[in-house]
Amino acid sequence: MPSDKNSATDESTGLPRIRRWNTVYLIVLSLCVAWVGLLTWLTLFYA
Amino acid sequence: MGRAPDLVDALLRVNALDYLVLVGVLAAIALYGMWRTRGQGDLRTYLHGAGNTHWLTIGLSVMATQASAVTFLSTPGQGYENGLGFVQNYFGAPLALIVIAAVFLPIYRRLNVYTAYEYLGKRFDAKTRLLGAGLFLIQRGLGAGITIYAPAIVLSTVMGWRLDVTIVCSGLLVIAYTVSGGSAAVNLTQKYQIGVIFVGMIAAFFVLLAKLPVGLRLSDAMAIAGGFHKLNAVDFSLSPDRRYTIWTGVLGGMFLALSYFGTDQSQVQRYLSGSSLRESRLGLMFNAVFKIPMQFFILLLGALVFVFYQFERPPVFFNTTVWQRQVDHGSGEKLHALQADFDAAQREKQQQVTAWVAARKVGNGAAAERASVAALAAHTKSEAARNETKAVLHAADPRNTANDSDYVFITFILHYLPHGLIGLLVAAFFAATFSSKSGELNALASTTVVDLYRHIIRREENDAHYVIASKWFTALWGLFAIGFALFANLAENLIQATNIVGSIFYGVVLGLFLVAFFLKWIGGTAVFWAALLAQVTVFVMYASLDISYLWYNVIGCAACMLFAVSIQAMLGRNHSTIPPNMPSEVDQS
Repeated sequence: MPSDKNSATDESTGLPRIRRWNTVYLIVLSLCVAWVGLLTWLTLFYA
Repeated sequence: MGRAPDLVDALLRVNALDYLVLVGVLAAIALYGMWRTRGQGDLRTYLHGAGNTHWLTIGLSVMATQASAVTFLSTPGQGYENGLGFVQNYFGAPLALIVIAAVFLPIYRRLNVYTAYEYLGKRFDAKTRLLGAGLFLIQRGLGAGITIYAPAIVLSTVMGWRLDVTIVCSGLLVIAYTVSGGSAAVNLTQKYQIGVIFVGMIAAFFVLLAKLPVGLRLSDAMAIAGGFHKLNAVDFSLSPDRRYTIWTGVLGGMFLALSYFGTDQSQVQRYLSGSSLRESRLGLMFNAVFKIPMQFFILLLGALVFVFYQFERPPVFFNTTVWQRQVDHGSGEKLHALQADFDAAQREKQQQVTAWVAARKVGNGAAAERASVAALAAHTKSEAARNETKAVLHAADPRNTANDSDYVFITFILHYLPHGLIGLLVAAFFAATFSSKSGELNALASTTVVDLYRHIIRREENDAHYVIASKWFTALWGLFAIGFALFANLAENLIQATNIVGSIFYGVVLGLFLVAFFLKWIGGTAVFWAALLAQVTVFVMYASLDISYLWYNVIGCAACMLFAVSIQAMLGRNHSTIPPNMPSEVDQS
């Protein structure tokens, strides 16, 4: 594993138009909340 | 006495093409992995790979290590039997993966550790490192046995293979390429194995849709599944004895995932092989995004198999080998009578379901409602016959009825998929076993060499010596897992057994790491005794309480942290807790 002491905490995400990791985490979390919402809707719709 | 008719029937369903696909796919992946990763010279390359792993490879590798054959064999059975509720188990996983990517991962990479337990040694002391490594070796060693036993028992039963030969052959193949190529071979083979699994599962899904009755749309199939309560994915009940609710899933599931992905070396080793922090983080985020949809898809497959069997004749008991054996051993009259009751109820249900779909299509709500009520009543009768069959089989031998749902999906595959695809699906189940087991063996060997052998027994040897030792320990752990699998006698549903073993140990291990990361004033002695006390507490509670096993992740973790705080308070303030330059928490970018 190459040493990446300098990049351990401030490495960029490398994703287009997303510079901060916190933004990545927020997007991922939003997607998961959307999934839980969809499954809740599925449960209620077919109840 | 010859083979049971159903078993002979099953054997005839697998032809030379299936065996060609099965053996060809598995051997090709293993041999390619060995060839591409030959000559791994130094210890770091052998245990962590060349350090150039792309995020997608890491993501697939993390996914493949977690998703064993149990996931793809047993989970559709859960969907068939109990609906989508099991998906809640994974609701906490994305949150846990985010915490690991933001907090755990930068610390591991900054310290350049081989194993997660090496961090405990640097943060606390040698005995705490050994405790963390020991708990991992116990539970993961047992888990590796289950990983190989679980699919072998199901596949050997339905395919008519000898269980011991299935376990030994599959175990030796995975040992061969894991010993040969180390972590790089694990990463490489996992990528192709998960590809085979996805292709196989998606193909099975489309064949299933094609096999539904002509004119039955997916929306109709969903309505039927919903009518039989198979689409109840989310349960908001606060009852502590419910195994899967949104609360156990979010809270217990988060602690389970935090511990498994964050502190279990079989996972830590996978994402530490990334070429940079970015690649490792993206690999984890890949899993955070796809974990819930993947489990949903597999469970939905099971629910749709249930719908499919409303128009076909399902067996009253899917493990027909056990059913037939009991018929031959004196319970034949009773079991045949129950089969007749079940068939009659199924015929009645089929009529009502057909009427229900027809009424839905013409928009006759009242007729649809009447038909659905009648179909549910017929379902109650068929379930009564199925449950009584289970009771008869259970009375004859308690092991008979424990995991019939594990046989649902493989029965569907053998009876309804075309040749070639049957071989591909069976190959996919073995590929899933291999991918999990290789990751586990790689991690068990790393921990044994780095945290025990190199740390205590042989401290001053060269790299070549430790590489050879790693290969030996990989082989020994593989043989241990094979031995455990040969003598295993599991009673629970397979996937639950795996999770239960994990949950009993994971909470305490997670507590150790959370204390290390966040409670800076606590030292090694306090956390060591706290972890031991917490583990005993979990054992006692597991033996005496009847609560969802997911809660033990929370309880073990909380007990470890609380005991650590209390013991440290009794010992007095620790002045030598965190060594200089030792990160506990890390800034997030």
